[in-house]
Amino acid sequence: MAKSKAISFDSEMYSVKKTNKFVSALIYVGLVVWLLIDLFPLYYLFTFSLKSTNEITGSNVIGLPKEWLWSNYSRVFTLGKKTGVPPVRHFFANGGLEKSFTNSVLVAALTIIICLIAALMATYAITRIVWKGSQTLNSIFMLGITIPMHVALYPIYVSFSKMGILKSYWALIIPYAAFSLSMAIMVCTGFMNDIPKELDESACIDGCGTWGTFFHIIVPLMKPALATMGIYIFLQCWNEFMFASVFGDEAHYTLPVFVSNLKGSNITDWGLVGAGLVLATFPMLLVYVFMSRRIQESFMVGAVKG
Amino acid sequence: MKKRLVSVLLAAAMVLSLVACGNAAAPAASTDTAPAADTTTETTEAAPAADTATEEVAEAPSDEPITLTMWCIATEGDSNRHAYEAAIADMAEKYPNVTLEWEAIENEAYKTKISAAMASGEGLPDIFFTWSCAFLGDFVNQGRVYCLDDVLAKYSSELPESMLGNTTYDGKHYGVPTTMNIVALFANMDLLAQAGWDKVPENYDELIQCCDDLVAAGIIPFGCAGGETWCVTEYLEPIIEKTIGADALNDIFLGRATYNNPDVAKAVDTFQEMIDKGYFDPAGASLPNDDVKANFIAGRTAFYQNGTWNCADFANNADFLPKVKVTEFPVIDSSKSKLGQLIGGPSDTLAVTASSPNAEFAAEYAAELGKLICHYGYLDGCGLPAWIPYGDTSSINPLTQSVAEICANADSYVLFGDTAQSAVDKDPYLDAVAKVYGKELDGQGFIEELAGAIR
Amino acid sequence: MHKKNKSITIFLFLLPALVLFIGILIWPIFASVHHSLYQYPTFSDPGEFVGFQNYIDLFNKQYDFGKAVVNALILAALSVFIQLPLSLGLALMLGKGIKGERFYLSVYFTPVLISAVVIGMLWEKIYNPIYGLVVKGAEALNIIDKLPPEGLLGNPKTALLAVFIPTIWQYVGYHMLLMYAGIKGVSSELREAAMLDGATDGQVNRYIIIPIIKPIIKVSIIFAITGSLKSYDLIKVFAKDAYNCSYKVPSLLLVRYAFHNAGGIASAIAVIMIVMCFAFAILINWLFKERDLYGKK
Repeated sequence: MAKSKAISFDSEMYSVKKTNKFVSALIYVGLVVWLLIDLFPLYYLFTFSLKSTNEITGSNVIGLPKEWLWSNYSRVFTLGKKTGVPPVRHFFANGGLEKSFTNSVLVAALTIIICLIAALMATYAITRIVWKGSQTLNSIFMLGITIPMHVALYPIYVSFSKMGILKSYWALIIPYAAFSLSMAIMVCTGFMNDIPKELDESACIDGCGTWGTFFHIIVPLMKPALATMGIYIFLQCWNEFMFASVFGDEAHYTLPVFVSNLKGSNITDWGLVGAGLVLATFPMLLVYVFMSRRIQESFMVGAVKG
Repeated sequence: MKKRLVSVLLAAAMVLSLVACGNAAAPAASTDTAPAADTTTETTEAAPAADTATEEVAEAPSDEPITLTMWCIATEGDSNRHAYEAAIADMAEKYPNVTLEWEAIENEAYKTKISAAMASGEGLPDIFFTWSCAFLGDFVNQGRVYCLDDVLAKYSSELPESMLGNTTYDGKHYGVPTTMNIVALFANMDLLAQAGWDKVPENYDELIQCCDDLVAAGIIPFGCAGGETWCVTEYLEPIIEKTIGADALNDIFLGRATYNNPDVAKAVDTFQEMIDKGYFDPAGASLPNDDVKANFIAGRTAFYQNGTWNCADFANNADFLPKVKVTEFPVIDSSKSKLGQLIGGPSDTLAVTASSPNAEFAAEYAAELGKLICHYGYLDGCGLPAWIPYGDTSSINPLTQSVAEICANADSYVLFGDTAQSAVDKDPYLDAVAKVYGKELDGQGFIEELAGAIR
Repeated sequence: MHKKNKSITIFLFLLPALVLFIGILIWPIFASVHHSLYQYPTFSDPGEFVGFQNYIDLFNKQYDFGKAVVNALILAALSVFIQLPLSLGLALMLGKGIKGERFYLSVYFTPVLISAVVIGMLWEKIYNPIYGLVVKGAEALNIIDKLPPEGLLGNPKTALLAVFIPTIWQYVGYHMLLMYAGIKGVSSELREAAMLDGATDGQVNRYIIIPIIKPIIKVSIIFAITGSLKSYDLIKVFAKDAYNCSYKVPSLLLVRYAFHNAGGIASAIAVIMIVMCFAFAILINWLFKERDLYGKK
């Protein structure tokens, strides 16, 4: 259907047309409107994080704060701190925002490492070693992209609790790594196919074994793919909520769980909640300002390379 | 004088046979039915005795350091927070070798967390907060809870047996109750005055008249948090109880009767009529309880029906306290119910996990901690004490005193529906209650759905 | 000998991935199917074997599962028919090569990086029926009568829409980015040649660009649908205790029953979810295969 339309241009369409001024003005209006829609909630969030409840709920809903209440921010740092932990213990062991921030970083970092190692090795075996069934295996791995994480929740919870790793970082890292694996293999396959096979062959002639080729030839050339995938996996773990809220205990809460706990009893204290949300969000946005191209690439590559 | 009055009232309240839970574990029918006079004298005597008893129990191994963990729901901003902090500080002074690491988790999140941990048996704390009856009963059935018979025996003079009915399963005690609470109707008298009412409505007709007057004056009568379904039950359960009677409701909650009772349908319809007449703040539909409570304090709604633990927060608000009065929801059908039939009872409880490496000591610790939390919580107005009060109680806020009076005249208690019913039955119940508030089910639909869902 | 060595090497290379994949993705599927045939009152106790009773029960009224599935499907439909066209429109506008396109692109993508929990809590404030931005805005514009007094989230008729709006807000940028990447991949000669032949922008978009980026649109559709079927974070924030809501979705019920002593029911929900996700992925692939005369890469 699309084909026939593409070929049979109607005769009246043959006149040369340039994008007219009206249309291009309309395009700009459209773009700017969506720009505002995107930015306004963030502006709203940032300003209400600095206001008193009084201002937010009545006197000054959308303006800049009349009085900039940075104290909202310092109060966030007192939240969720364990009571009764002796001060000798490490600062970060004491719960609260800093602790969940470090938890998030740690979980994300280990997930990236584990997932990428597994994905690289598997991709190598699938694309560079010739064997029957490699393609079948690849398609099976690809099925993983569609499997919803929720399915694993109950069985994994049960088996992790039997293994006694429920109260640890591994309870999050292992599922995160597994659920990013399919995407990582897909992207790595795309990149690895771009590396000429002759490189392997010459390495082979030079006496490198399979492992040697893998570590000395392939891995260094895959660095761009690893960076791209690393960013992608990082963002997936960073924002994951369901597993994080169910599996972790307080010592292992990640940032989204900390944020959701802000709701608890402070719900009417909008300034405080706002400050918590800003602290949980804006560091990431700051990184994005400097790395926007790379971060966008990491999201594109999955869909495009597939 | 005041002090005396309160303790006499309390003693009277405690004598009432509290409704015991009957889930899978056979209920310990409230054993204590001692005559009121006995308990009253006991109260006055027990007060000084209390202090000495605490000293005796201090038998913790004083040399080796022990770390205990505790989970509770006393988050910052929770009414009980101060009571917990004060009690824990006292305990730290008394047991310098014991480090208590405690974690407070928000109410709804806590229910999921403790249930999940109990089901798996992994990562449990030594001491945990729990609601009595079916909530604790589920854990007892799973074999996760340490039996407190030995420990509580030492406190029998301070903690009346009648307060233990809700945490007793197969005749064994598994919980240390702290405070007991009921559902009560709080009224903002300033707003009532604007509608021409200088007193709290005393019967159902007056309540309806008062609501109509409020609506006519442009004031919203009730605030109810649809975002948290337990808050809806705080409205619906008293309405049902005052329509069908306490015994009938209790039979339903404990599985001795089905929901298939036309009077329940009638009560639900009554509730929905009130919603239809604009008695309820529509904004409450999606809001959480804290917002709705804040709205009541801010004078957006004239009434707020919720647990009496709220007395503490209202009393702490010096501007608001003079405006607020507390009362009991009036009787709707006097042929089946009467004043004094209340929703509530001892529910807030501390318990000890069977898997705790220091279970025996944790049990001692929990009992003492529970007593202190009860003490401070009572002084703060977080509820009525399950333990016999000691020390100077003259500073208790007037709201809590009114609650004590209501309880003194109590006829019978039915425990909160989401605590009395087991985890399996609670879900369909709360689902149906939410649908009633959202007008997706009417009375008939409510009883049909629940009669089908709950076996 | 050599052959055996090779098999061992292959196996070793695959081992980490297989362990993760089978242990965390494949095994739970079978475990869920198995669990779903039992009661599972606690994690360690399978309880009674009930056969397919859990599945039958799910569609009984009390579990509201039917409604949850319908809600998820509505969300999926809204994503495909509102969110994706919006993304495509933005991508086409940007793809023309206009001034500041990188800037627009980057800003549009920003919400994707924010945790859905944060977005949920932010929009909850925006929707607050007394103080929220929506209500205050409506007051300013004097259209307050048009809003339901319960607030958009509290009114059963508008609640699902209220859930959908933040979702669009967050993910339009994501789909836009994918499509933009595809559009930028269309060679400029092709575009220019068409323009020389007198094609308008609309025609270029319709007859050249969209057919070429079809595979990407397919990926977007699959992501949008499966994403809607599994949506959890944002809705969990809105739903609070998950009893009150006109926007129950399967994942919300799954998590609830998993930890409310009904593991069998939770597992049955998991099985149905996975079947739905696969069914949609296959359906979309099939739909695109039939008409995919151009988009092959």
